[in-house]
Amino acid sequence: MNKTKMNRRDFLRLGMLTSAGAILASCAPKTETPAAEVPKVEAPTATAQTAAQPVKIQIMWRTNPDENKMLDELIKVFQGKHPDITVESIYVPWDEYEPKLMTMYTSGIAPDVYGTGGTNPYIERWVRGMVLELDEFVNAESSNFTQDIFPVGLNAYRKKGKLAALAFCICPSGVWVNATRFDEASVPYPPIDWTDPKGWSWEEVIATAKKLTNADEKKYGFNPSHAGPWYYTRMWGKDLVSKEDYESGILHKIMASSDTAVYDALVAGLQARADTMWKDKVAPSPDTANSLGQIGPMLKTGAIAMEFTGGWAVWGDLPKEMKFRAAINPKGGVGGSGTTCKNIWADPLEICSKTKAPDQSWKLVRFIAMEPDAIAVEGKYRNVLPVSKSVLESFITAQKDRLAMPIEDQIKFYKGAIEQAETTVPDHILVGWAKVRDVFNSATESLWLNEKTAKEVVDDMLPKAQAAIDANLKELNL
Amino acid sequence: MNLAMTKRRTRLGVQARKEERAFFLFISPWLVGFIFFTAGPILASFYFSFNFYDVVTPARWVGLLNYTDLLKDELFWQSLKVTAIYSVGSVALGILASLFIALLLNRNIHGVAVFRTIFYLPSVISGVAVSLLWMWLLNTDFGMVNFVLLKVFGIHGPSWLMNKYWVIPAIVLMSLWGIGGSIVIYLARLQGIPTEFFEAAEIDGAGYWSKLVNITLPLMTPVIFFNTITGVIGSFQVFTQAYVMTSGGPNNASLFYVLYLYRNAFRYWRMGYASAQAWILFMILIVLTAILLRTSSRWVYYEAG
Amino acid sequence: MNLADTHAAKMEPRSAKIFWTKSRSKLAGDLITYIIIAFLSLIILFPVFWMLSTALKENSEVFLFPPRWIPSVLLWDNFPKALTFLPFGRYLLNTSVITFGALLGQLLSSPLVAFAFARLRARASTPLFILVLATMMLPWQVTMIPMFLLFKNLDLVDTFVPLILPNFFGGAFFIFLLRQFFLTISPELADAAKIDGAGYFQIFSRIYLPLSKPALATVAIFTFMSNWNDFMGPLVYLSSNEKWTLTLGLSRFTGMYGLTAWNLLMAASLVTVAPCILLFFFAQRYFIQGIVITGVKG
Repeated sequence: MNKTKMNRRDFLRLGMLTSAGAILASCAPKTETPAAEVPKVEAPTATAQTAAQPVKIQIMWRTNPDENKMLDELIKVFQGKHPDITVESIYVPWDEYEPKLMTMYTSGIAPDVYGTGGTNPYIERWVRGMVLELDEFVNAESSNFTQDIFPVGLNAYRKKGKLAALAFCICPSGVWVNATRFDEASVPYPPIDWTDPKGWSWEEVIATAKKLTNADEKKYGFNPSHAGPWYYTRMWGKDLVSKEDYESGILHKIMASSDTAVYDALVAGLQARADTMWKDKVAPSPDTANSLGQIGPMLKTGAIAMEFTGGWAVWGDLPKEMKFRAAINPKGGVGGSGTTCKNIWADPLEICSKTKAPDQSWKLVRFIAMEPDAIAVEGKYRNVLPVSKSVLESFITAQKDRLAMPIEDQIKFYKGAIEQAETTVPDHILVGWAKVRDVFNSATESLWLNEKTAKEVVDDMLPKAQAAIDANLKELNL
Repeated sequence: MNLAMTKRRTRLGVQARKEERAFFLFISPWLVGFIFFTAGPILASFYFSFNFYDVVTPARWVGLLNYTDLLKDELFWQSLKVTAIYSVGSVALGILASLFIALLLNRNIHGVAVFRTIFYLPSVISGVAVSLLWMWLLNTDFGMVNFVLLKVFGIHGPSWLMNKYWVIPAIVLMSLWGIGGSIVIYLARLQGIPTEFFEAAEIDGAGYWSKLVNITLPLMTPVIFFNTITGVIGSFQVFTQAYVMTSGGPNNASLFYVLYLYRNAFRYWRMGYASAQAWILFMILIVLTAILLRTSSRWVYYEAG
Repeated sequence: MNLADTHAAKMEPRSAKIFWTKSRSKLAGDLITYIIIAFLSLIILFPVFWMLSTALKENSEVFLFPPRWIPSVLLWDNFPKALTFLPFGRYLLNTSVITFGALLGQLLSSPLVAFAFARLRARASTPLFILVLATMMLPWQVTMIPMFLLFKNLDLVDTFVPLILPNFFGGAFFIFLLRQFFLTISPELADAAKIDGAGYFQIFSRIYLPLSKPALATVAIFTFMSNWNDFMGPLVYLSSNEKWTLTLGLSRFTGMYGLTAWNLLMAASLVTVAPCILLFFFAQRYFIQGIVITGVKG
């Protein structure tokens, strides 16, 4: 009798351990890839032999009504050009994109091409061996390819000399202008020439905004939608990230912790942004911005006259009764002694390191990024710019009616924005930035709510940021 | 020979053994499911809590490091505080409110089925749409909540989701909107109370209040107990509202425990750390549940007779 | 007199009895109840009215101040538009299959397990019950991936099986719920039945189940609703677009940069809710305790 009881308990234990063990065994990916080394592209397999059956590849993308229709059409065109390749799209809501990708990858069924997702930690994926390095593909292309692509697009995701991802679209930074509001107040338009060494200064922005602000009517002259310390440090002439870290893709420290000049730039820049709301009073407070923003995008409704943000400020439907323009970023620092931040956004495509169809995946990537027929499709659904130099002008021309600016000015503006840019934003290209960004966001909230000064907030957040970086490096064993 | 020695393995009578066998037979569906589906993932997460694990590369053993780091992590304590406050508020208010409404909906007034459906409706509308809806309703300047407060009561409502004192009450308020589920459970129980008790009490001259306190509430305690435990367990795992509406803000004032866990797991690539968080939560809930179970014999009445 | 008969005799429909013997104080009580309930109902329905109002608007009209309740044009067209934006018919079918499968599984398994914990004595009963409760205490975020791997190794991803099958093994929430209800049934009934020679299963099916109709109806309502609205499960396990469920379909309406098609999202959400509401409305009949127990004798 005792014996049977033992057996039953043992059976239970055995059963649980077996299933647990099976799961643990499969939780570790089959191939061990040390963090720094990344699998190379194998010699192209004999795709000619398998030409009988079309090769199927999968591409994963975030859910977004316009982007999804765009991708569906891109796939149709692509399959028309390449009858030997079938493409299947997987749509995942923004916020669930990364968890789903991680889950699929670790169980060995990741999509071949990673499209745009939610948090987009492109380099985090690279450092963990989830992506194929694209140098061999790019080098195999004709020189037309590398000459036609904007350098900032090609190199934005180059880390340690290796190309981790290929940008396929560019979104410029800028000050986006509601021209109607300017007209109503008879204020001259802001400058549009990125190549002009003078540009305009932060103080000039404030002065312009003052003429366009009427707080009682809930109309403001300016909204600095960028709130990250990274932007303001660069605008005030310094950088929170060291050159070595940009090059390696691994974040080791926040320069403001050790370099006084960077520290001062950071504090001054953040304070300047806070001042737009509480001292200069040309920008809406977070609460008001939140309220107004829910009624409709503030720039489009005219609640603000200028918005310092990425190009998406003028995407999508534009109200017919308003006119819009673009303008260059101001130079930060005192009297414009800083820079225009010199950044763009460049969303890339990545190829899964475990793909069984690398060549086909590359064909899809280059199609979406560089081929004119693909870019024409993209232009139907989106206003983000292509990375291809040769197509840029015609792309802008096709959409020229969106902005109330002569076409030459638009081309000059966009080209200038792309060409003077040095980098894309840190959360796409630095390992360990995600938590630092959250630390910054929560700490600076007190500043934006006028509860603390910039210096207090910076002193509070720098040690926390460093602690987060250190914890991250420990986990990655770097 | 020594009674104390034989006490541990008491020999069951034939009848008791039969009952035990029946017990295992009846629970076999759950037991089988547990062994084959549930136990593995649970043990796996326990294992990962002792590792550095980012899901996509192999795990690295670090022993208790995740746990000690958590105890030193101020966001861990902040998230625990936020969640505990929310839990107390939403469970206490939820039980009171749903009990009150269930008692009202138990009466046979005209159209009661329609009213019950109305109260049940909010709990059925799914997650994201609800959060987005409430974000709009709680908008400081233009939302309906503050609009009504101003027009009807003359109060200037606070900026609900951007104020560190009001953000948790706002989410508690949202949770109260969705108590339809608990109301249904109370109604189900109320329907099962034999009328003979009420009749006997009425013969003795008991009024409404007396019947409520002496008959209804005691007989309801089994489900009040249920709603308390499941309420506590559920409230500690609240996630969607903070994720969609506040992102844990302002300044971590609504950083719920599972939200922080989610970020560690999927934004910071620290699944091991998140697993340790999960197991600490688990231990807290076990302790709370054990306390509730232990004290239950004092206030929960099961026998109908 | 047989205890079971006494018990059964008292379980008359309350509605019939009360209506004809209402005293004045009862009427007053009902009136007060009515007022309170009506008032609370309005508050509860407030956001729902807003949803309906939004669903009928044009997207540009959704956010206006002062808030406009009645849209300038009642775009009933939004409903078919929302539903044809994506293959919602297909999604409805998929969701129904999953939900009814889960419903079946849960109703078959949970009552059995709950009965064991309520009425069958075993030394392992308490520790096992705590284990059942414990399975509710670990957040899904940390068990999601190992669970996915388990099903991947069984080659069951991108199928409905991971979403339906676990329900056939009982759910902790429902086991706990039914256990509480079973415990309120007097053990004397079971004892009397045992004396008459009934086996455990007969006691279960002939005494406990019939007496627990409201509880079982509650389990049905909850299971239906939680599977109908399940988002993470389908998200993780289903990839092919043809296998998508309604909740996944709803997520297609959202996107960032304020590009959510609010009106369509609200319209689709309201329609998605309808089956749960219908089920609930009709399940109400089980919330009136009818005459039960046909007698324990076989």
